[in-house]
Amino acid sequence: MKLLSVSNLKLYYKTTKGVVKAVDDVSFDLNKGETLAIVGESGCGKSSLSRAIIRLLPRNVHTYEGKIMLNGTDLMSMDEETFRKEVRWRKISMVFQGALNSLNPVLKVGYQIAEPLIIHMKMDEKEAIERAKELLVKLGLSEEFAERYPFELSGGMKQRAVIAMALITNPDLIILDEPTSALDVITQANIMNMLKELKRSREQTFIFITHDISVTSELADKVATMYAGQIVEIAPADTFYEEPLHPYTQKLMKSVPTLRREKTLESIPGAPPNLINPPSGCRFHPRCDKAMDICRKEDPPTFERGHSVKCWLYR
Amino acid sequence: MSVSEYTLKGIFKELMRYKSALVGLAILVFLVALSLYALIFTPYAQAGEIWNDQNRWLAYPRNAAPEWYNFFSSKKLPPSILIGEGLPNHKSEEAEREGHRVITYLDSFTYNYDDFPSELVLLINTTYSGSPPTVKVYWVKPSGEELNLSVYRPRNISESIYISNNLILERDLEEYAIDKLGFTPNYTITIPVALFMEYKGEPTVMKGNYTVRIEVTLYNRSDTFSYRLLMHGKVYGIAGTDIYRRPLEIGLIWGAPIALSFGIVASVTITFANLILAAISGYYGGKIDSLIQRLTEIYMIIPFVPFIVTISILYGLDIWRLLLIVIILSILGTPVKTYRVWVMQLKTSPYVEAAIAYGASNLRIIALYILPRILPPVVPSLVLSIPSYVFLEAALAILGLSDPKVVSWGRIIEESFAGGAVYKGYYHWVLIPSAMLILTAISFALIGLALDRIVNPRLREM
Amino acid sequence: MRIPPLAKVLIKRAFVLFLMVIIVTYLTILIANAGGYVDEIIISDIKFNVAQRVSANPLYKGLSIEERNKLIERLVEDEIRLRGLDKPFPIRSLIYLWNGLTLDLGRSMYLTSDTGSRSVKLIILERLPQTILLFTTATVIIFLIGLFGGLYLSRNFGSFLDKLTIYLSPTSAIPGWFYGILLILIFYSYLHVLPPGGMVDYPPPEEPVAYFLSVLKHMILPVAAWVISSFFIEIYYNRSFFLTYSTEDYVEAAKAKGVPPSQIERRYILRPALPPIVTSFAFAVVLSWSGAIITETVFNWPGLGRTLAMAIGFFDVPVIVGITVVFAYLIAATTFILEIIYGIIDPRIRAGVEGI
Repeated sequence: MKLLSVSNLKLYYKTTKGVVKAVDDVSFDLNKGETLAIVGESGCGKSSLSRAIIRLLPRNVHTYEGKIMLNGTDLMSMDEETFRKEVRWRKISMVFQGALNSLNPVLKVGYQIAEPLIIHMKMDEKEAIERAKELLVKLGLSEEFAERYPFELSGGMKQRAVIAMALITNPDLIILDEPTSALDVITQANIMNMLKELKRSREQTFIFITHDISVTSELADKVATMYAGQIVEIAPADTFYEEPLHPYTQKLMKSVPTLRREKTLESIPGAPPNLINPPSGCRFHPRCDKAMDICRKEDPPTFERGHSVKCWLYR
Repeated sequence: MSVSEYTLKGIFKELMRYKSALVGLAILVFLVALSLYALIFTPYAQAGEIWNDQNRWLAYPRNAAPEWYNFFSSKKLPPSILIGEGLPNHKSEEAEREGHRVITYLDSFTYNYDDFPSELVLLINTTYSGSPPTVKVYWVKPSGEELNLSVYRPRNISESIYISNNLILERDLEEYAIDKLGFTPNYTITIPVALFMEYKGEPTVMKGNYTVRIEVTLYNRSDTFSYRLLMHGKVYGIAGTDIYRRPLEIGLIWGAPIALSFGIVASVTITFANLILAAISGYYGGKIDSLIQRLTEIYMIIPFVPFIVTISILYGLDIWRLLLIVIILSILGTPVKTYRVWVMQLKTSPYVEAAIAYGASNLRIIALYILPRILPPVVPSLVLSIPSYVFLEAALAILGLSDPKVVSWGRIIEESFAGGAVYKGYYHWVLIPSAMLILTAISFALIGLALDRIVNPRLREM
Repeated sequence: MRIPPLAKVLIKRAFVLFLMVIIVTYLTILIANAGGYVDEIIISDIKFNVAQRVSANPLYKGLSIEERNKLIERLVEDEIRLRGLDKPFPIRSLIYLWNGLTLDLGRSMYLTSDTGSRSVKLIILERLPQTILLFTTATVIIFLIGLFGGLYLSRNFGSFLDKLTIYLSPTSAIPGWFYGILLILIFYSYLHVLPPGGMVDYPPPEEPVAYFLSVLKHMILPVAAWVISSFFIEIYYNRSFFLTYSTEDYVEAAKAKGVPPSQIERRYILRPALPPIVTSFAFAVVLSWSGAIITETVFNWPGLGRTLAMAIGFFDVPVIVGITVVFAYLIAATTFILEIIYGIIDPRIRAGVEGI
């Protein structure tokens, strides 16, 4: 059975300028122990997707519908209180973008890492903090940091602490939203190694969201490309890097420099689409050099050509 | 939260979209128009003098309510009525008796109000040689009754005879009225009452046509005589009058420029002083920064209101020096600390660093790069603090510390308290200048709060 | 003994604040002397009193005019020397400074305490509690309304009540004492239900409960005036304030973690917001005392503000200086206590990080 099965997920926001279709009919599956990387430009809806899965909805939500099945349980049908008690952090946890501000400045680091244990597992505080300390050590931080405040930690340390916080309840799924974007390259590498180790030793399932393709290549089993609120391609990692099918993915790959091969870098013309008024038909057609007539008129369905791709080229 | 990305122009364009701000602006435009009117069309430079000069106001009634009061009241109060030469319904006939000229004047008017006038004044202009003229006044009520209002001999070239202050006449008329009533009523019969009353147990006005007959005997061919009879009403003008007969509408007009200029000049000057000092402090850092910070803390310990009041009374300040003191006592304070943080954040921004790199002088950087960026988020509080300065001036006036040469709304309120308006029920005297203050405060508050919502993007509708 | 960094910071601050009180006190003394004008008043006052005493004294009846004048002159000189007025002002100002700082505030010129004493310190001590009672009550009520109202609105952002609060906030542009005038007009002049001023009925009730109730009755209008004035803007500012704090990333993270909403409000929104909340509350209290002069005059409330107004009316310089110094001390003391509290609440300060 699949660990996570998302079908027709939609998340729209109300704004003064109109309705933003941030997540527009997204579907994908994930097996236990798999890492799904979601890549895309800024503003394509990846963060909104992560929020949609963990139900962190803003005040101005317009539409929130679809189906999210976790281990056979339908998450969408749960009421808020049940969701809070049973799903939040016990089944799904999250490492936020800009994790540097994810920690409460007036609470000690150790307490914040232990907090989910106290709340959800009803653990005694002392014991929970002990567990937190163990976890910190496993992630490469000295256990004295548990007694410190967030402002006393460097960026990389905070990130590890936040990851510890996400791990401590052994959730089935961890979503990481651009966890390394704000860090220097070396720390980035360290964190990626740590994640790889976790994946291996715990069979941890990850959803990894990033705009930087090169970062995902080490961790991902599957890669999904997101564009204008939709997933346009989901491929196994190797296929994604070697033979991407969707024109957008192809362009993305062409824009990333490689270390060993000679490569002419290309950029993608045009600007990211407006999520309030996306282009008609296939949303990528204005920037696609392979666009056909039908692309302007009709939104393509998802075709299976070995892996899923949403493009009229593969009819 | 640091500096905003808005420009001043952008902010004001956005402001037009807020209805509340438009209302505030409309009120402000009205007040500015009032102030301009005061400055251009009235003898504003002598405003204080004129206001303090009791003799200027004799033509007006005392303690009159505003005329629109009649709109709301079932009991219609009379306005001031003037009859006599040059006015309608005036007739004169000249005759000769015993060698002297005798002129008989007749004035009639209709009186349909529910209350009595407050005073009767006979305004006479006469020239004579030898004997002053003899003036006999007769009063004819609608019922036909004729009352003798006594004889007068004006001595000056222009004389105001307060018929209603004639105590002997009052006693006579009172006796007459009691006689007609058959009993002593429970209300006081003053001269205006006697002249206009119906003979009833409650004070009732006899409505209808009244005639005044004045017989003037002139003792010399060359003597001249002209007169007017003024019946002071109980309503006057847009804002009524105070105990010194001053029409409050004049006071309101004269107070407008004071309120606006005091508030705006204080707020703008203080805000700019704060910004500049914060910019200097945050930009240069080091010893200057420490010095300014220490001075700021001293300022924060100074109890502002006691200082202002103390200085105000010990040094007898006029309003502009008071403004200066208020500014001096406010150039440093809590806002400076906040602005300084913004300046320090801006100092490390790329384009300031670039400016330093290409050799721009510090002054240039502060004036052209830093100040324009920290100004927009400050505009709301600038506007919002204007009412507090307006009320500060009013407060000092109410405490009796105002500049006697200046007519301000606060001063009018103070005079109303001193004149017992609260106890005697002359509410308009207190409420109308208060309403002007409230109007001013609300106009700036509406504008300022709309600005506040614009400049804080997180707090706008999401 | 190692002094913890927090204590070091605090001791330094105490010195600095005390220095500032000295400066403010000296400034007050300089200003209150009004360029020698006050001295002239005092001296002419002395001359008048001495002349009165001499002419009223039967002992001196027999003296000639010349002799009497010489006597008056001599007595006046004695009195001047007694009061120390013969010394030049700069020196006297330092004496006053020392006195002011040690709260030896001297004797007033006209005002007396209820017990008839001229001691400025006593006068102040007698009246200060009334000011504190009235204004602290008002400030606490406003603070609580603002805090809970703001918190509630930040949770229900965009609701009808929210919009209503925004639209009505211009009513706070009008100061409390002004509302006080209007309230007196309504509730006393027109309706005759509440007293127009003072602190207790006259004659004051003997029985403590009745006395207490009478004071309460007299507090209603002044407190209501300030509550009305600050009501909407206080809620509005708190709401904006809490909105900023509740949109912080760590609040979202806490929500994701499944922290129950009540705990989020307490630990993730209120706790980090505590330092500015406490600061503004403390300063609001202290500033309400020193701004009391007008309200107390309007309501004839027997507190320090009205005393100051009376002292100013009488040019009673010792009282004016005394009250101003006391207020300066109160503000400095509040600032200092706040810094102590900050040190306890904010871990960054405890660690000795300066310049926060």
